[in-house]
Amino acid sequence: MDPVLKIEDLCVDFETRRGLLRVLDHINLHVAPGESLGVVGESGCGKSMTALSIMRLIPSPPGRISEGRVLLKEKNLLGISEKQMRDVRGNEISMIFQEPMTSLNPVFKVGMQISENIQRHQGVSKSEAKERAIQMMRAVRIPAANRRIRQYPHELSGGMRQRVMIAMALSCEPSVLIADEPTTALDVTVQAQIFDLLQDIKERMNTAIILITHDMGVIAEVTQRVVVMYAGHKVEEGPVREIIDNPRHPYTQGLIGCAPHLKADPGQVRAALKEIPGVVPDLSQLDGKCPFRPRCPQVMPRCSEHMPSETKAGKDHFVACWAAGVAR
Amino acid sequence: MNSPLLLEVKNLCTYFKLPKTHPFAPAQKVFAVDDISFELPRGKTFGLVGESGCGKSTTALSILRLVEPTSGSVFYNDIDVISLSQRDLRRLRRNMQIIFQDPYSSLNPQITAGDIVATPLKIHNIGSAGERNKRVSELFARVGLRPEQKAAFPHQFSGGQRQRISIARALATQPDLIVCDEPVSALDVAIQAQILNLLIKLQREFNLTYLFISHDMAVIQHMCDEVAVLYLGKIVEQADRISLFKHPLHPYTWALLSAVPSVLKGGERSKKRVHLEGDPPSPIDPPPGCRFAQRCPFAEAAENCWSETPPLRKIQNGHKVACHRVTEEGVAPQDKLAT
Repeated sequence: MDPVLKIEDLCVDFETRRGLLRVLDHINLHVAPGESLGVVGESGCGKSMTALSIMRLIPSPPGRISEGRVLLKEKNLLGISEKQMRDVRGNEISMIFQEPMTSLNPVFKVGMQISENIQRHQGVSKSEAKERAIQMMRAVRIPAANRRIRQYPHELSGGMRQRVMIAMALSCEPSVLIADEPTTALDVTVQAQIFDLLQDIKERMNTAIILITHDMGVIAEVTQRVVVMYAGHKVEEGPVREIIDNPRHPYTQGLIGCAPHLKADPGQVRAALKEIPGVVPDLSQLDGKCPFRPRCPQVMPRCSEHMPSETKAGKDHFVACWAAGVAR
Repeated sequence: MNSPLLLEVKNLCTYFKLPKTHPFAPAQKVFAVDDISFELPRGKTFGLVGESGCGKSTTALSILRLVEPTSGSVFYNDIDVISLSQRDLRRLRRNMQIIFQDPYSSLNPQITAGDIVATPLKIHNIGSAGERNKRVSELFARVGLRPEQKAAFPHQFSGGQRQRISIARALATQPDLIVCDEPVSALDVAIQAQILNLLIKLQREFNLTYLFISHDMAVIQHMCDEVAVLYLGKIVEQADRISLFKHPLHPYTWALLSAVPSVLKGGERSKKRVHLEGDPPSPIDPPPGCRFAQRCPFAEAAENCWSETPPLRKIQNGHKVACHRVTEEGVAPQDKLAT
């Protein structure tokens, strides 16, 4: 299927006291209707920055999209005016943020916050928008929606608040939904409910979902395709099972190996977790060579000479690593 | 003489009184920790796991008397911690230390990392200034920091390094017991592995005993020898690591385990899993009967689920569960679903 959203060679720079930092370096990705794409990596690797660039919400200055295109159904979002962009946000592309408490306005009732978006984009009357808000809240399985629309965010639990955020994001039936760590602040049982809901919405409304997370388990269960990011670069991309069963980039291998996995039979012996030594590099220290090489267990001389280019590693599977071609 | 049991907690209760909403309102209580008992042998790791608000942290703080428990007793090395005077308690705290969740708010930003680690030594009057300095350098090396970094301030460290400073501070007085209150929850996945490996290495080196608190079942499985699952201030299931994960008896444990997303599961398994509806209810004046009944897919009036609090009872060698629906032979209600 043709992708509904396509990012081509996206570069984002930030002006800082230490000079110009390239926080995103030639990112390419795409997502089709009804598909869910996972974006995974440690904090500071550019996951959220990618989402914000799609929405054109990068704080500017100091940030700047310096190269590339963001195509929503053939329309380049980087070429349109701010006024036109406002018609896209919350209408064609919506976003759910990590912390539902800070992204809801505490002084307005939740029903009003949902219907506001509907009124703005669909040009319907106030009463109809309210009716649609109630429908939306039912769709995200908020019990007693008639009563809940009159409540304030502080009266709701964390899980309910995130449902309100999702109801708001979906109120105009967007073609793309970006979820930036939507469950990090929630308990696991509530997290499972939210993911079920997203899955259901994706199938029912044929929405394309971009899910940003640091949890490989979430990626494995919720997404179909995954993009692994490191220090502003895309290092690996492929179908989710392929990436998990056969990761080619040492960073992806590290991300999968470093988390303890819940097993049905834990066994007596506890093997030490595989570590990725060190930390994410300071972006001002990047030199145009492979950014992962100081932490890489498979580093070779070539890594400090050239930036590895993206190569095909299987069907729809791409990897940017010199060692990936040699090691296996 | 040292007993094999380092810590014994008996019927520990910690209730918090809520302020009255108006002068004639009934007094409300939060049952944060409600009748919790467990034993922790020397050199082992005991895990407390549950969702937010289930009383994991309050249990730990009550044991250390950082929160005064309402009733119950805590024996540390056969010393009754609850009846100790403040002075004796302070002396005892040398042996029991804590690592907190958030390495950003648990380190004083105004003093250097070296001073932070030296603080417990100063408080307990251990060694001269020179000896303390030497000890701090040694601790830095133990937790994987460079001794030169002593002069740096907390903001100059990354999250993982800050957690290493917390660990060094906890180790400074050579304690036997370390309470780890969600030590890796605030860290990046790749850094979590570094800290968990460090904790295991230190436990082997110093024969440390950990009370390990986490909401993450996978971390608990990796770290603990014995695990207690908490729900609204009560232990609902307690077992050694292998029998708990192999055959969870309490429907809550089962649901909690099935909600954890994992890279290991195939697509078919995840479709079969159960999802609990709703959120954990409020621990303010909980209803009578089983506290999980509201969300439990197996709750039945005929089994007294709504009317009678199920006691924590022993099913088989050390596996305890508080559920009316689990039979004496250890058959859990969810077992019938699998067939």
